[in-house]
Amino acid sequence: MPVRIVAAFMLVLSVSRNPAAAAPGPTGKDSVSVIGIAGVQELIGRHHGEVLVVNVWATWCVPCVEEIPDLNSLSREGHVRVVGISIDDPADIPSKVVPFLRKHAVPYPVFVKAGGNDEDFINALNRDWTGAVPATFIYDGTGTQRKMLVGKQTYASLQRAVEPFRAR
Amino acid sequence: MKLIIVSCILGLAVGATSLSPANEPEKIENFTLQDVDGARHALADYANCKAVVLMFISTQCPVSNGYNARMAALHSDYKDRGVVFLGINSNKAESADDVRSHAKEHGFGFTILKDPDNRIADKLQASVTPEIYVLNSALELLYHGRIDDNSRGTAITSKDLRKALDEILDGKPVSVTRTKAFGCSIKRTDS
Repeated sequence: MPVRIVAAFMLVLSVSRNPAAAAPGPTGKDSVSVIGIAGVQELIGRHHGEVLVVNVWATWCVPCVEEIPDLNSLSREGHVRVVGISIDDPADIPSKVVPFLRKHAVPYPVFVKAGGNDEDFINALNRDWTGAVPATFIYDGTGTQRKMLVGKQTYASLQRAVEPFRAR
Repeated sequence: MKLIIVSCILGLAVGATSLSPANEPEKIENFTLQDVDGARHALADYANCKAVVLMFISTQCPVSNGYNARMAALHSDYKDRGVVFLGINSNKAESADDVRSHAKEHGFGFTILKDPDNRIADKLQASVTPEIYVLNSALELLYHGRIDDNSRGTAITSKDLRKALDEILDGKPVSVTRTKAFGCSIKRTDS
């Protein structure tokens, strides 16, 4: 795991509801931390040099669940870094989010949005985003958001979205 | 097919306009949809109301369903004050029968319109459930956004829709005209 990702995880752990919670493991499904706006911005800011795919989803969202296998495939290829942010209730991490990630063998790190103002969180990711999930945000190697994809994606659509920004 | 003639209890009251002349409210074009029993409803039928609340809702979305009791309460609290509530279901996978039984189950006293081919959702650029549009008697958009700021109903700090309606009924400008919240994307026919 790249050093900058570890650093980002350490940051989000500082806002975890459960300070004793371990950082997400390499598979991202063993434990999950909460993340706020500052944590997301830090995550993006520390991600320079590689394409970052931020997927906002929820366990209760059918199209979100349907696109997970394609995000898994994209992550396993290793050409881009995928991070999930669930908008499930943080209280549901142990009962819903972690079991979901295990069941679906999600290989990338996943956080749960911390409590607080949803609108601020939505606007922090993109002011044009209405808050509809799933939503996927593509950042280039400089940490600049280049695309916002709202609604269920496929492996092909994700590939098309990241391809222009991948390092040659 | 039935044609519904509607009027608001308080008659020809004129709703407040919320925005300054430099920021004129958007006028919503009239449309007609059928409710789940086949009766046709035109938006212009409600032009004598103080406010028209359009609520894009879903039978399956957990966020929308989290607001079922609050939507029923809002209707109950404002229906005798010249405010009409119209639910709109634009989800392709939710049939009129689904919508009818869901409304009965949750005690909705307001009319729910079915939006086949998500024509009205497209026209209004509605994207999530629940998503609210409040219009005045001139069918101008006064408020667009969420019902309140917490879908779980446990830590609400801003009852945005109630606040907008109260301001309209008091003849005041709507102080916050646009809000956002997480919600389920509307399942369109082309999705």
